[in-house]
Amino acid sequence: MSLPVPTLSPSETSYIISSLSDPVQPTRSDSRTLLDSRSIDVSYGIFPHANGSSRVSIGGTEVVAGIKLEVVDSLEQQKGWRGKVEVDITPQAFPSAQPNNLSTTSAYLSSILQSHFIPSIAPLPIIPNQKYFQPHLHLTLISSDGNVLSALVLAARSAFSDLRLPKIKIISWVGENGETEGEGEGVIGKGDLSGIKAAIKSKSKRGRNITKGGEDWDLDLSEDLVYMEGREGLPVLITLNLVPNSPNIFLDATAQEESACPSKLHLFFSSSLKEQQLKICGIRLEGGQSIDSSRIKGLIDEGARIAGELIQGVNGNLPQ
Amino acid sequence: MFTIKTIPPSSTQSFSDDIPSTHRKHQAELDAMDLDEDEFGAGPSRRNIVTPGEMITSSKEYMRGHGTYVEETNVISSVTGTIERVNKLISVKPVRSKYVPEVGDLVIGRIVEVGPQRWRVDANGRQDAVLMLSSVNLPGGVQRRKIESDALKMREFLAEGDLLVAEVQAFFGDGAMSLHTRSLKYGKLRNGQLLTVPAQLIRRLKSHFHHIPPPCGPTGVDVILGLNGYVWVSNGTSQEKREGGEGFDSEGVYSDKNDDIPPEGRQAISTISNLIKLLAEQGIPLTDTLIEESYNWLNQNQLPSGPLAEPEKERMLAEVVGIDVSA
Repeated sequence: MSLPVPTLSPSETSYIISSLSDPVQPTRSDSRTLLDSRSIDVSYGIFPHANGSSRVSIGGTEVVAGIKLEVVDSLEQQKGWRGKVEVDITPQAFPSAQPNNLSTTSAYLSSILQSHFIPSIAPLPIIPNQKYFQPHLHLTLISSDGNVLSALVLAARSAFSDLRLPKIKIISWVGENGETEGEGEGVIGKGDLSGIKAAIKSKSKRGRNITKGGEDWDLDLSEDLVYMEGREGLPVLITLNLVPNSPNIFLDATAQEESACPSKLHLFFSSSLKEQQLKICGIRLEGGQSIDSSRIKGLIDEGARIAGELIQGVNGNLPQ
Repeated sequence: MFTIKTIPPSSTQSFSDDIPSTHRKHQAELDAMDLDEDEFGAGPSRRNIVTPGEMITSSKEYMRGHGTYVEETNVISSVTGTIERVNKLISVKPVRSKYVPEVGDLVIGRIVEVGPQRWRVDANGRQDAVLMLSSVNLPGGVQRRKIESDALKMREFLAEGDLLVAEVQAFFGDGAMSLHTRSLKYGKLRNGQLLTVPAQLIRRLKSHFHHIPPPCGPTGVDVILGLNGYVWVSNGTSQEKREGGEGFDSEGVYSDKNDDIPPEGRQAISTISNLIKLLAEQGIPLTDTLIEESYNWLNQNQLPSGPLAEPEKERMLAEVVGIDVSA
């Protein structure tokens, strides 16, 4: 289910583990410290015809993301407006993996994003309780060098930060329909509207029939596109990698490090603008290792601290 | 902790018309351009670096070799690379290609399969290489005969995933290389980490085993430059062990256990790996002197151990290698 990792020889594995688990002076293969991340590059607006897009690379891991908005009919409670995610793992990201293996992996990654990232996105109404914009997020993993899920989540977040919504004008009409049916030439009576009856709601007001035209909408092209509200608070993912038989944790594992230390704790944090407070919106433990219950609290606190820094860093460079 | 950069979409991404001229020229490329005005390259550039579809010369006088084809009466390049001429044979050596093995090359490989009397080895080439049981030294000395029970416990010597350093011995009919480790210098690798660089950056040198002496780590750092682009960086060993002399531990050849390496030693290995990666990123051919000089440069400048920052990378490349990457 998890992503394919490169094969390592036993001596390589033990070299990596003993380097990482050194209690006094742990080292890493590229001389980063344990809580250092590789440099993160973000580009916004890479697809000219997408509503929002981004390209994120963390070291050798590269992801492109694009969002397309679709119009759907839904009620607020029905959640039909909730976004859809598709993760595409290109075969060249894992040249030695089997194709069917990759498709199960991409389904797995899609489900993680669907359950931990998408619920944090507010509805994008056109006509509240009737029509909504539904974001379709498509993520493509171009190359992989470890820490894939973080890169996917960061790319999703950046694409939503880049998402520009069109202004909407609502077109409707309200007509009086007090007269009896079929009276008078040239007056639009009920009979003439039979074709669009479905779109018309008749309601009685003060004893008279008011026909209200089915609310229609159009894009308001006179105004600029606007960025989504609350994009600063979208979730980020902090993956804490656990070193076997050691209390050490490290960030942003390379593919080799992931192969040697398969256990990791994924923590999704979203923030709310008003309170400047982080909220956990997903926890996942991957790999065979178990965590002692006494450690969990400390790990989450540490994750929250790191997530705060990441959110601050990413929000500092949002497209304007 | 996090360094986040926002990069504007590149020209191909945004479909804009103004393509920034970020093209940099390597010194070797500049030299090469002045070189061969008399010889080949009848195409627009008239130099011995050609791009696909560029006309090289007339096919009436010359024969076409690898990387070229004939159209009408011209020899035309089918790859990007440098023109090579042997008498009347014109070929183009591609700039980027898979490793093309030659007999006697030193390569680093990883076992992918244990088969009857042989191991299949990934050596970064077009096909997997083969290491025959008869071409390895088994514990117990060079003269030891191989018996049937050795074939049954091949996995005890080398199992899937193990790394080894070997020499190309011969080729099979289908072009796959056959390796051997019948020297005390060759065998299983441990105490270090593997890097992958483009194969064309490793030149054929007298020796591919290099030792960077202390102060680079308490015992120095050993570097093995495999011609297939795999580079092994490991904790330094004593002179005798490297040469396979008296102190050679023949029983430990197939051991999986690493020695105890102090943190300073591991840090030195990481530093050297970073330098090699940095040089390889810029397409600079790797040699032992270059690696040592860059390490000395780090030492002289008293830089903190850790990944190099961007300006320092540029400074090092300018001062040690003499190329300008600031564009």
